[in-house]
Amino acid sequence: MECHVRGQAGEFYLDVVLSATAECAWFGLVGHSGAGKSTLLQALAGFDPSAKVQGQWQDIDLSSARNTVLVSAQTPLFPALNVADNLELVARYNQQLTNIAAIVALCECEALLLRHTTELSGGELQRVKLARALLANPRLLLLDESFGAMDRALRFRILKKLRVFLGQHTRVLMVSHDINEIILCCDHLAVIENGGTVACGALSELLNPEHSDLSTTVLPLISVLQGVMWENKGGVSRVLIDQTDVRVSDESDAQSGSPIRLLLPAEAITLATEQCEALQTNCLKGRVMALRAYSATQNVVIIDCGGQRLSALVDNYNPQCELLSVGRRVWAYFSGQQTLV
Amino acid sequence: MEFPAIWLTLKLAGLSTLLLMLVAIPVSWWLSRWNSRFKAVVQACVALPLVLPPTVLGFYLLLAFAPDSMVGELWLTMTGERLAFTFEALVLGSVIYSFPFAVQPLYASFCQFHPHYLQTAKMLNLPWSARLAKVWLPAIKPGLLIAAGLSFAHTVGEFGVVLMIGGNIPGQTRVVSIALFDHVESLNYGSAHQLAATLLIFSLCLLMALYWLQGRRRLKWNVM
Repeated sequence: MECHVRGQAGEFYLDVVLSATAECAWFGLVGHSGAGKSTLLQALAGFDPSAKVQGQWQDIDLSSARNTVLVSAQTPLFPALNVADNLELVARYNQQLTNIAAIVALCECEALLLRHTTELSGGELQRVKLARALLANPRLLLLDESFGAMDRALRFRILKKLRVFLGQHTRVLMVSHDINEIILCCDHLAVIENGGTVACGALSELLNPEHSDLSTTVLPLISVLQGVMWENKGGVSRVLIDQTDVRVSDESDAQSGSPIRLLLPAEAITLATEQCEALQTNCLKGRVMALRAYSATQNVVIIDCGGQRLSALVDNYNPQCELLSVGRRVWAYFSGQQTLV
Repeated sequence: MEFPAIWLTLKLAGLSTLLLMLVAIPVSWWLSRWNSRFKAVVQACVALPLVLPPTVLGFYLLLAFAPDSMVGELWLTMTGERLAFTFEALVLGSVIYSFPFAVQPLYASFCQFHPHYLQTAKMLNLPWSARLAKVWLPAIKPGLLIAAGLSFAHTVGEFGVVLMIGGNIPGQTRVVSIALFDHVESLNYGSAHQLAATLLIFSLCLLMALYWLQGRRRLKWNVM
């Protein structure tokens, strides 16, 4: 996938280059508010005729904006029609009438069909907009903060269903302020800053703490640990990571024995140089791989945890910090309030 | 009761409203989408009949409609008849005189209509007929009704322009407001009362209907 978008809105200049491997199906975009993410998506959707778009994503020609559907605050529902009529109108002109029921179920809009568009809450509105976009049968779906008003469980549920539903037919470019959403869905990621691309690459590369200069600006320092779901009972999931039993209070619908990823923000970790029996919380053992400055007061410690990388933050003014040297055994403690994807 | 005058007035108002809608819709749409420093000039020209004494407008129209003027001459060669003091002159004058009453509500409703609605409809592959019928028309309907209602009411109520360019020819240019003036001049107060009350009640009812529609039919736009 290659994409180059140039545009201008008043004093704001946009010049973004995105690239990914051909098989990339979901591409994530992150950046501060006002960085140009929405402008980029609007240009790709053909909303800004003055913007210049070049590029190809598999067989999709990005410059034409054909079969491209944007879901954002700039794509309002049609206020003269109720929810069902909004969906039916779009389905009729895209030969999707037979798919309405399936798409309504995917977006969990069954109870909203007879409502007027003005009676919807923010999250309901987002679900209906997503359903309407899917009924246009897009080849390229542009999601601009399209899940922000939904609660987390609902958001993850719909995103997981959406990934299965779209399969390889539809490519997705997704803007979100919630890095967890991006990690759940996307395999590639770009960081946009002041109308330009700051970083672009595979998710595993960009979240890798070797890019610590980036992490301080936009990407939070977050480790993605592969594990296996062991048991899921009463709202507590037990996950095996590197032979260690980790308990997380995240209701995941993953089956026992299926692979799962644990998202561990660096600031959630308390690092100890000795095992501490008194701490009744999750613990992962490892060895320090690297140590470097992260901010004026913090160092990032990269830990090898059974072959997986884990990053933690320590205060550099703390005298204990000197104990951390490369090769040193460490214990990383963290609470169960983490996210599974 | 002056039924020929009432019929003539309704015919004049109906025809003028129809013509006004045909002209005012594209002009208002273009004005709402046009950004230039000359916009104020155009807006001022459109709004001029609101503030000018109808006699000023009538005077210039009379000059323009005279057979030796360009418009009058053009009309004469096209139809073989003079333009001044005819029903056609009244229709033309009414269209100009009531133009701001049609443009203002349409312009306001077009300005409120965000381009995102049509962009979204196009993006979702709706053909132009569906965009027009399902998205654009429902959105501008309240503005359209108010514009048509105000144009009609204003044309029914005009006097100065009609007097200047129409005169008082029964069946041709003798509308209700002229007939009323005629009755008063000849001290025929009974007939004057009848016509005045009819006009008053008609205008009141029309305006009440418009305000009622405006309160009831206005669509809410908080669906962004």
